[in-house]
Amino acid sequence: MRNGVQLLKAECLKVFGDVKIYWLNYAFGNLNVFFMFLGLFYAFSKGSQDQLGKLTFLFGLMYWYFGVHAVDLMGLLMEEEIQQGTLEQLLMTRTPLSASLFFRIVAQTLFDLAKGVFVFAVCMWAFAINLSQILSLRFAASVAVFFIGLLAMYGFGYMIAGLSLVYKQASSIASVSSTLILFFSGTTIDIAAFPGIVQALVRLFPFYWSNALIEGILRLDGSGMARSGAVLLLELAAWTMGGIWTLHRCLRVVYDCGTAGNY
Amino acid sequence: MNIEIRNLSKSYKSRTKTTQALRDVNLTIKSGEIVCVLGHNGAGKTTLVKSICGLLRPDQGAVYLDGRAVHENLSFAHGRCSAVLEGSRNIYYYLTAYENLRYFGLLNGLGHREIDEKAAHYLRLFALEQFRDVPVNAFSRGMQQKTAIIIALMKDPEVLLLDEPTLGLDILSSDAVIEILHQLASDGGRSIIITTHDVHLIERLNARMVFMNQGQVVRDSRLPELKRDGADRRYQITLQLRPGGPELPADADLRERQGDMAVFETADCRWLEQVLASEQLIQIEKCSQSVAEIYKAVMSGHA
Repeated sequence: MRNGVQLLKAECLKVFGDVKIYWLNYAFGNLNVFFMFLGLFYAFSKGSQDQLGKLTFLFGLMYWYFGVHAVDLMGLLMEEEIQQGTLEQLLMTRTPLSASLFFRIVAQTLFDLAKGVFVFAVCMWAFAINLSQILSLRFAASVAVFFIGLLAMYGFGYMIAGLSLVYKQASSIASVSSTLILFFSGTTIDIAAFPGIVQALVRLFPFYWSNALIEGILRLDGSGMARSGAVLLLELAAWTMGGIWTLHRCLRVVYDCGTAGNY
Repeated sequence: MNIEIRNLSKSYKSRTKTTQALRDVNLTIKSGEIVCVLGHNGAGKTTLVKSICGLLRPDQGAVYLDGRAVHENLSFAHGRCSAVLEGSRNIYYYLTAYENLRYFGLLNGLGHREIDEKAAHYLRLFALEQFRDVPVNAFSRGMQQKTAIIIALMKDPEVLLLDEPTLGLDILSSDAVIEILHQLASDGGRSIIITTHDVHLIERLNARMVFMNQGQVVRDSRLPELKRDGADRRYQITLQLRPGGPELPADADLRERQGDMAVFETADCRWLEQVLASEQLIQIEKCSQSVAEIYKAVMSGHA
């Protein structure tokens, strides 16, 4: 536990060091996200009086933003470490790479969460979502599911991070996840509209089950909630184990080839 | 910590060629020993260092730290070794010196007070105290190198691996590094392996020297022994040159010439035997070799 707190402190130190230097990039990046959220929210829910539908959609958008980050950030972080020459130092510390990577993404998520809460609040105000909706147990349960779904995406992120160690430009694959989560998670388009094969593929990813479960919880629709929850947990385990396994296999390749310091 | 390197071989393969970086290297480094690894560029020095700390898996053979194979106990090895491989590239540019020390300190399991104490001590020692809160991207190469060395030292490692540690350092900082290395080896019983081309550093460390050429260890001796051996073979001659007298030997390294008097160095013993009885031989004395001369002699196979 103490170790975890210490690692989180270390990674927060690094994230804030980065923000200090690239504050203008961060500021405009955040502004971009803010306008995108407002635009998407307006386009997809204008005229709707369905308060729970709007809230579900907002959760979907949040999941899209954080999920994409969870995936591409891990790959980018690895590529950055190799480019800078710091990966070798990171590997030589007493902390396993998978642990430092996990806490770095947690630190980044905490940082993003601060602005996420702000954007969430602005969207709620701008689109007249009743405040009472968030002061409920259902909302708290939805937030918990949101984080479980996010955790499962970290597994995907580990996989990309591992591939980035070997193939260097693997983070570009991660950009695909941006479209996948936006259009194939059920947030913007009901997946029933897609061919069967696409539906089957979408169900392999945790974002679909996470969004389905959140919708079920918010609407108090018991049908399928147990199934969504069970598959989500199963996928959390599968993606996490698969991701860490991939990262370790790729690290082995790096040790064999001696490319931890080469880009 | 004792280091045993047994039959270590490593090659790098690309689509077009295979480069043999290490060939059957065997070495034993005892606790408290300082070893300088020397060799031309591409001789396999960095490959050796990376194999010892577990950043590179050998094709054959193994490295043992106190009897434990490095590549079967990577976390054990990483917990006990520190390495400065490319000093100025081993740190985060956008963090300050102190933030770098704090970040790596936390990842190495050090407590806040321990980090602060060690950081203050080493920053003072390396004259970086007033630059503590400056981002390292504003540092000179030497200052970045110092920061990387401090990170390695703060871990309090049992094995310290330094690849060109004095690159870009000023003389005072270089001396500080030498002093710390002696202290770590003698008081703390740390095993220290350094790859370097810095003659001043080698001379001051007066340590064991391992010469590598094309992935093999070609000589493994202590510096005083090498100097003695080299001196036994090389002589400074003062000779009066006369027509019909002995000519200068083929390997003569002329130091001075005034009129018919020549002062030169030679290692040609057969030539010496011929002129020993000659009246033209004014003076003969054993030479003391510099580190650079020893290096050249060893690498050319003359020592």
